[in-house]
Amino acid sequence: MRARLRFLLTLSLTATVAWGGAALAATPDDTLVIGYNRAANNLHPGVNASLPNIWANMLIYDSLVIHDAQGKAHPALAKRWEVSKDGLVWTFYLRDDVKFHSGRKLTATDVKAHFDLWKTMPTATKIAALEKTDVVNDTTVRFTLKNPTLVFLSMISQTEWSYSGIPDSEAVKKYGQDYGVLPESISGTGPFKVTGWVRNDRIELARNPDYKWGPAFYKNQGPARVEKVMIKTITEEAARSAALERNEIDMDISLSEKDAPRLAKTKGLRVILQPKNTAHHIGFNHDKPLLKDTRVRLALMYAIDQKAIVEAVYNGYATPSVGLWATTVEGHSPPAEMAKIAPSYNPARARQLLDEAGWKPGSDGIRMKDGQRLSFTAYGYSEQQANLLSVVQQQWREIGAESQLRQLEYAAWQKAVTAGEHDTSYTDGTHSTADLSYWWVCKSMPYPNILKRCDEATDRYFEITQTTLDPKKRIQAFQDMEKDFMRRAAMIPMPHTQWVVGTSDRVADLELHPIHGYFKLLDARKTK
Amino acid sequence: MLGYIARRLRATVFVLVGVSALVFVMVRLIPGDPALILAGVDASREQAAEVRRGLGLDQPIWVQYARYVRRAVEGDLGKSIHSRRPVWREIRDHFPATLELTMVSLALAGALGIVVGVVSAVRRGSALDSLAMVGSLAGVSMPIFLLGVLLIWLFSLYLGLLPTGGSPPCLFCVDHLRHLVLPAITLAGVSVGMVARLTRSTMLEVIHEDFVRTARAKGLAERLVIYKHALRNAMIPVVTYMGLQFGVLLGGAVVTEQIFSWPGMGRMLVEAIESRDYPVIQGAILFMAAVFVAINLLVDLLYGWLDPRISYE
Repeated sequence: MRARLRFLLTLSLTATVAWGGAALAATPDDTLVIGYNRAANNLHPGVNASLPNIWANMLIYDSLVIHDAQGKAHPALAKRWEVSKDGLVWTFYLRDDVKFHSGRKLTATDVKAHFDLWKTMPTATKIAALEKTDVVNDTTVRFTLKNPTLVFLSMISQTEWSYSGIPDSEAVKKYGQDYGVLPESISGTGPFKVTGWVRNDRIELARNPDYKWGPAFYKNQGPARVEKVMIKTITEEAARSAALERNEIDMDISLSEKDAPRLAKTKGLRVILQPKNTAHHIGFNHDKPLLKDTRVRLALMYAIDQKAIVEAVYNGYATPSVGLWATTVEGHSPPAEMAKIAPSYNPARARQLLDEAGWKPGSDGIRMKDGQRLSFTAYGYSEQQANLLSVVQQQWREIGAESQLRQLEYAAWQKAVTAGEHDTSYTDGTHSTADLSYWWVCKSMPYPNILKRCDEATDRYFEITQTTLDPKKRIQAFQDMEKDFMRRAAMIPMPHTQWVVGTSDRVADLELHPIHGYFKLLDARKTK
Repeated sequence: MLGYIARRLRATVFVLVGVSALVFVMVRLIPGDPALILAGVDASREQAAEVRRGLGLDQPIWVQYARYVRRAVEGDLGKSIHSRRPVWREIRDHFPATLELTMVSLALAGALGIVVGVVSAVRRGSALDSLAMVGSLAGVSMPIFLLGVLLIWLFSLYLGLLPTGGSPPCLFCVDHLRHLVLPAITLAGVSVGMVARLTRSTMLEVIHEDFVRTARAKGLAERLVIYKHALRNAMIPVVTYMGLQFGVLLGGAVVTEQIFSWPGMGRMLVEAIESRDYPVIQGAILFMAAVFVAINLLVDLLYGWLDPRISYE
């Protein structure tokens, strides 16, 4: 009996060790495994605005042009381009050595086919200015615009959500609605090609060995240094961190700020930071009588201590903002100029402004005017935003203002703010250029203009940015608009966040992009 | 028997029509505009309206429902708004993973729960009984989410024995089984406790019945008395419960699949709800309701086999 027991014990221990040993095996040497919190659903560029699709498409496709991390446009599939004097005709000259993953050569016909189809897709707003696309010859394509605009170049850059990635028009024709859905249908010109796709689980990519048209801002313009990439969907934050610690993935692209300090100290792991191109802010609903007085809005701006928010909410992984735009966004104002204009933390000044506006402290410390409390709602759509708004709630309370937090799920938030139910709302904004100011013009009411502010000056500045052919005039108009927002307290800028990326220390030369994280992965490699 | 099945199938049609109408209306009551999610935050109003028109969402709800029912009758559950794939293909790709997880969990819950319940009943009042009942109470009380995270911490991070989640494409490989262990235990957690408690209480009733006493008086071995006579009779409410549990586990799989990144219907449904993919939500819930109804019918038919006294006429 004892011998049998000993045998069973030995057997189970051996099985456990074998089982565990297998489980502890690291990711394969030739594969970079990336963990992400959501799954892609369609890899046809422009079909929808889902981020996981956009990120995968950055690796699978290329566009005519691409912007670097500093917002400068670089040739990609186009060697060069020309703009007519009236700004209406844009001619792009394509490289003649580009091949799709299918082996077909890229021609101007593929470019035209994609732009014609894109105009019918849900994301067509980006090319609203495009009248028509013409094939001049195999390597020349001509775009005619409805109105002259410099923005066109940004909108057709791959940096602009990768909608402009050019798919193989023959494959699109062959597969129809199944293009971008069936793994075998997908054919781009990017550094990686799709080799497998288990929906809601993983996308498997293999290096494109023919690739030699990488953007100039990468050290490596040839085939990617990693042989394979696997994008794994791991929805739960805790599970993703655990997977990184166990070497089941090499990279967690959306590491939570609360886990970052612990993982940075974990042997074999690193935390890489990259400032994002953000314009996060708390927007005022200018339709609400309580917030119509500029002095009240300015007071609420002066009450905000961004350093405290950075520590309490982001664990130090963010930077206080001076103006609305991060300094890597094209069109931002110089920080020194903004520091003179934008209200910064000054609770005494905040109290003074509220006194001047007639809001006097009540018995419980909350200010009153004509029997009305200085009390309003603050909307947000994520747990992190709720955390931030609860810190802001305390800071506003210090000056006698009361806010009630409303954390909704994103789509519900979208509906509530479109209907104007909010008094204030946190909004994330990430963009390569200040063209995101589209959000705040009159024609964007009721959504995405949730400031509910139709302002003549804002519309005028925006009009200049969209129609001028003088880049300096465009930047100046963006800067004037930003300063005007701060002077007239249109919204409260919030800290600029960062990409907090956890990687195994086997990942080397990883360069991150301020908007798109890992972007095209041309330089990254994996050491043994 | 055939008449009984026909009657049940007729009732099923009404159940499914009811479910489809309810889900159709409810998904449209959830705040959020699929067109805006599809087109992106910077879509113009005109563009969003165009997308809405393209999806048919500008039509009155009854027109939309009539169109949906007409297509559903023809076997067409529509296309996903986001992936543009037919909904049946989405279901076909995701359901096997959920079925696998649910069946393994159910088998685990059944096997473990029945053994614990029988042992508890036979050794009523012993330390083993107390331990089993405290354990089952803990299982019933613990939220799936907490149990899942605790198991990841213990078996993946601390002991390093099992992977944190995911599902390798190879179905019959050891790696696949290793990935299945934690989600299956998590999903079975609640049911094990309930099955154990139910088995224990029904066993306690049955072992005092006359026929058990008779069996003992005839000199049958105690093991045969318990497993052949008592357990078979005690199983009827347990089987009923486990049939219902299948539906509960299908629902519980939504949370479990999220925690363990298991690529099943639960994950698909959560993605669809977040992106307001109406056709996928409707199709998935209708399909799950149909599966639930079918399993219940199967359980009812199983009674006859377990207890010959039950007649379907």
